[in-house]
Amino acid sequence: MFFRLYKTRIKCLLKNRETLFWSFGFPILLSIFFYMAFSNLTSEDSIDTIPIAVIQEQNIDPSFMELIESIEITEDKKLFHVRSVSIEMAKKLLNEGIVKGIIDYEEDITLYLKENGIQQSIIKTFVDGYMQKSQTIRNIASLNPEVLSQEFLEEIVQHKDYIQNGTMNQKSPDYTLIYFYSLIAMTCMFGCNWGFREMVDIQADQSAIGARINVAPTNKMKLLISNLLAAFTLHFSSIVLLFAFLNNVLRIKFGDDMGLLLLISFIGSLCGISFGAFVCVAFKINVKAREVILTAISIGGGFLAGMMNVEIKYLIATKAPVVGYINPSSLITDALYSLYYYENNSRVYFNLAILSVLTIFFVIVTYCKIRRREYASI
Amino acid sequence: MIVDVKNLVKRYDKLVALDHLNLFVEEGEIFGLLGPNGSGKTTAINCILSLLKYDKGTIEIFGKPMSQDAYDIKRNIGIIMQNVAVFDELTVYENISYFCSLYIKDKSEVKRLTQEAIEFVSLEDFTKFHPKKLSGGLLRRLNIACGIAHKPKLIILDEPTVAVDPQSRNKILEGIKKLNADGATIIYTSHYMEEVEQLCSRISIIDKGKVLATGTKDELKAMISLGEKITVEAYNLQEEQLDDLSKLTNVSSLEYSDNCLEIKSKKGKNNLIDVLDYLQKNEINFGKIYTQMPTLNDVFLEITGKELRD
Repeated sequence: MFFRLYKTRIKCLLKNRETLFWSFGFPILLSIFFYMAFSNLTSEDSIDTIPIAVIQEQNIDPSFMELIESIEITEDKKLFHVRSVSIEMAKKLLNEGIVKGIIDYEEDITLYLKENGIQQSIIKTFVDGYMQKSQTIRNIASLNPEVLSQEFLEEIVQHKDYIQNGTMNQKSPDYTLIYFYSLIAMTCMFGCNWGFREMVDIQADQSAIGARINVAPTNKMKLLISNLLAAFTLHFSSIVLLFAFLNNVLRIKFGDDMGLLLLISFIGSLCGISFGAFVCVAFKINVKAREVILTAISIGGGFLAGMMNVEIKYLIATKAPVVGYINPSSLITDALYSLYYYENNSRVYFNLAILSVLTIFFVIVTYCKIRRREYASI
Repeated sequence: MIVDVKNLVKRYDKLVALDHLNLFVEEGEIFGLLGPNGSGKTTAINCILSLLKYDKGTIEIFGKPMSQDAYDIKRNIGIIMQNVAVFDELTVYENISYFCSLYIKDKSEVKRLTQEAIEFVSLEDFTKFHPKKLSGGLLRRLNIACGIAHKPKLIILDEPTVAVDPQSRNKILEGIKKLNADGATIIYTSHYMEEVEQLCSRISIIDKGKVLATGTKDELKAMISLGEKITVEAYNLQEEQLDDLSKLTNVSSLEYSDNCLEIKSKKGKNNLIDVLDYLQKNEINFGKIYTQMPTLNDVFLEITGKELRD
């Protein structure tokens, strides 16, 4: 009987085009939009060797030339490709876009740039840093020359990393991934619509079908589990499909631990569905009003998890961490971040544990609310 | 006794929806619950089915107290709600099969009963249709099939013919009679007195949550002071003539408007011959003549002072 109920429910849900679109179609569409938007952003911001011109007539400090030619992005990739040219040639190269900036080294350094951009910012940051440090050395030399040892000088002129921060997992940071993580979290939370629908269909005060089902001699728990399981089957399939699309079509990398990744989605989906069921039974108002509350909470959760603005996530994490702990979207997103960035999975397990606790809480409250329920009004 | 409801009280805040309602339904009868909209019929049904909490009273079905988890009782009840309760996503066959499977475990039995229910409501040509493709009448028949497919001993129909065309209505009423003939006890709620009168062996008239009268239709009609009603199409009656007519021996009341004379007789009496005699003697032109025995509406009118459909 259980399997028959489950199978019929699957059939029912498969024919609900609206819910299918929001769970299967919409996240994939959104991922395509994200991909289109962020792939351009990434290509513009990727760091290549920056061509610059240094005017050769001037009497340039050799240590400056040595420094500028030695800075590397990676072991075999220099930060600057330096051309020592005449001022006329330098201007020509700049106008033609062949070089991104001109360094005129007289007593002070003058920097000429034609456009704004990340490469120009890097050149400026380098030049400003050099000027600041050389000024510091000059000041020390005039005030206290005996402290100027070779080691001291080497230490003070040590160039900093202009383009890269260290990461905990030897992976280059890709902030666009945050949006894809949030998208997965949102898809998990779309499960709330499935859970909500299941509850509407088995409560006598919510629908005529619910009334008919309540009159039948079927155990409510059995019915609840078969319906929620049917919803979960389809909803989890939608997440797996999204993963497959992101991984195989858009080539988004989520790290190597696919098992843990699926576990996060599995618990995320359960949490989403049980959350929808919980909202449906927790509020004593009409169905439409409950739907509005559900939508508001799920979108609000996505917002607080950084879906619309990454800064919000950090703001919540620093100012109101409790909100993050009770927000399933935030927990899913955080678990996915942690899985990608950290060697150690303890933070992933911590997030999964809270997510599981929330899921169990939602299920228990839902069951207690509908168990042997006689309604005050229908 | 199949259903026994005693002193049932249901309140919605200050509104008393059921006021010490007493009902009993005997095995094999078609019991009618007749009352205007808002009289408490559906509330009473929902309490009987243990869907609604009630404040006071007892409900027994098949001699056992009814409760939310009284599955042995529920297994033998079929319910046809006022609102159509089917899944839009499932076909006619799938809907009937699903609801039947909530009662019957054996798969082949479900299949057999589903087929029988389809034949019973004459939906053989629509088994693969989705509910949205069905007309109002066909949809009501599907609703009935979903409620009776498991062959229940007690069938409760809550206004099953609302917004149904006459042809489908007749089919539904015939079907109910057949179900009863096959051994099911029926509780039928309606505000259509003609249906209740045509169908039910015993009737309770309900208003404002109270049972006002219970009995067979003849017993109910016998409770009131009115007898036969005569309606005559008569032209240009004068005040004097109306006065004379009202003074005829068995006339209880008289009304005349738009050339239509309506005379109500006293209980158990007849006026037709006297009235026709008077019209002929006074050379009054008259056309069509109808006679009608008291209806349940007259009963309701006399008990409550208002029309059943108010």
